[in-house]
Amino acid sequence: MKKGYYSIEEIREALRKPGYVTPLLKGLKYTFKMFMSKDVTIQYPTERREIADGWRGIHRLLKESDKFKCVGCGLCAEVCPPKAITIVTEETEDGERFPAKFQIDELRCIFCGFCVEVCPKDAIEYSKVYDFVDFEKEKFLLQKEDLVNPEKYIFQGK
Amino acid sequence: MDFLIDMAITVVLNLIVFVGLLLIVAYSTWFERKLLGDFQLRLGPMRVGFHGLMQPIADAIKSFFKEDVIPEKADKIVFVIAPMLSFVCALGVIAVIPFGGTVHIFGREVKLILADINVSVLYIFALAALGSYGCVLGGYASYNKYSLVGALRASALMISYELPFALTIIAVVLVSGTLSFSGIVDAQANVWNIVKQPVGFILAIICGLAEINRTPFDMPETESELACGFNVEYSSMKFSMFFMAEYCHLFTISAIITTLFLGGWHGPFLPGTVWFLIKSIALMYFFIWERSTYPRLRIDQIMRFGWKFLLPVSLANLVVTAVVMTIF
Repeated sequence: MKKGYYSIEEIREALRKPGYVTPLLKGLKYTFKMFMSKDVTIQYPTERREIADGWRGIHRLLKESDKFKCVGCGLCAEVCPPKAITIVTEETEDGERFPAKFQIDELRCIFCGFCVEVCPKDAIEYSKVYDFVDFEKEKFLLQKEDLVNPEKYIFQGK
Repeated sequence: MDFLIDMAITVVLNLIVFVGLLLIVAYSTWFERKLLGDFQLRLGPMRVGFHGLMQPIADAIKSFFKEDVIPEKADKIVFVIAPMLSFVCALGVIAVIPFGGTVHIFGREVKLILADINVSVLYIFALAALGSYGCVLGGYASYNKYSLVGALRASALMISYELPFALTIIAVVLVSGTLSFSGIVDAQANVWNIVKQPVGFILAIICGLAEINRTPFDMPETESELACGFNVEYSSMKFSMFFMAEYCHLFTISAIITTLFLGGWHGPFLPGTVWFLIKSIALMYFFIWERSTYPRLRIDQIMRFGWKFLLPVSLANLVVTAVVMTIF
């Protein structure tokens, strides 16, 4: 039954309920707060986020006193699940083995990390390069000279 | 000779205003994208020029080179005329808006207004109504169900919001005692109309939003329901004409509300034109701000709001204003 008057509690309840205007003003206030706060986007190719340690970017072949650490044992090629590594090993006159050809197909590689783990000489590691782009498939067959400095494949824009 | 100088001044003034308006229209797209980005914690256009300042020019060049498609079953003449109608009507409004006081050139007093006609209020209503025909005809001529529904909604919106807008402005006219914009601005030299007409100001902003089809009322081009509404079939320069008309409306509605309620070009210290631009851009900022805040209403909610709330309130506003003006 409808009463002819409102109790204090009813009036308070009505005041607590959102009306028509206050939610609109609240919305405006919220967006204005967003306007004043700092933008979260970054300018990608020029600004970059911190990359975590242990990131699996494209591979790096390590060198020691200007020679490859790799002795061409072929373990990495053996353990590689998608068979992305091709190694041809040769021997110098003084009996030192070295990889004459060391090629990684970055398109086949699944970045599982087995090659890094298995290497007895710790000659291969992952770099933090994650945005290697090109137009031709052949460009992704990286030779040992390319793998020395994978940072040259960082996307520079254009 | 005098006649020639007069004519030269008029021509130069016209050119300045026209080019300035087009620049403002171009850069209001940049302004809006930048601000919307800021509101959404993004950066907005950054690549073309310093902080994306060349973006409008890049957009213009792009739209010039786009393919211009006319649907096979479209009403070709109307299809071509509609965007022009929309754009020209949007541009024409600026002619009656005073954007500064008087300046002295060659010993002459030049009023900074293109056409100081004494029925400016009627003129802008005529142009606004005519401009809505751009949407309506464009939607009708495209032979597309989405654009037709968009056009219907445009006309529904125009009919329901033109009325409270007109009633609100009539209250301003009552306060100022003149139909001419320069007269209304002169009447606000001491006290702005926003003080005398606070309700009218809010009503004018709401109706203005509906009038220029902006966000809570952007019925003619509801992206999510109508796939862009009345301009689905438009491409290339025809589309960008609609687009420019929309941004031109954004500026002109800000300029009109500035003129009617915020004292036009009056203000201390700075020259009148600067004040006019500051106020208009502040209003534009508000329009973009609310766009980033509010969702779109449903068509029946908009109609109900227009007829059952805005119309009675604006009528009451008018009646109260009239009574107060008669008594005092």
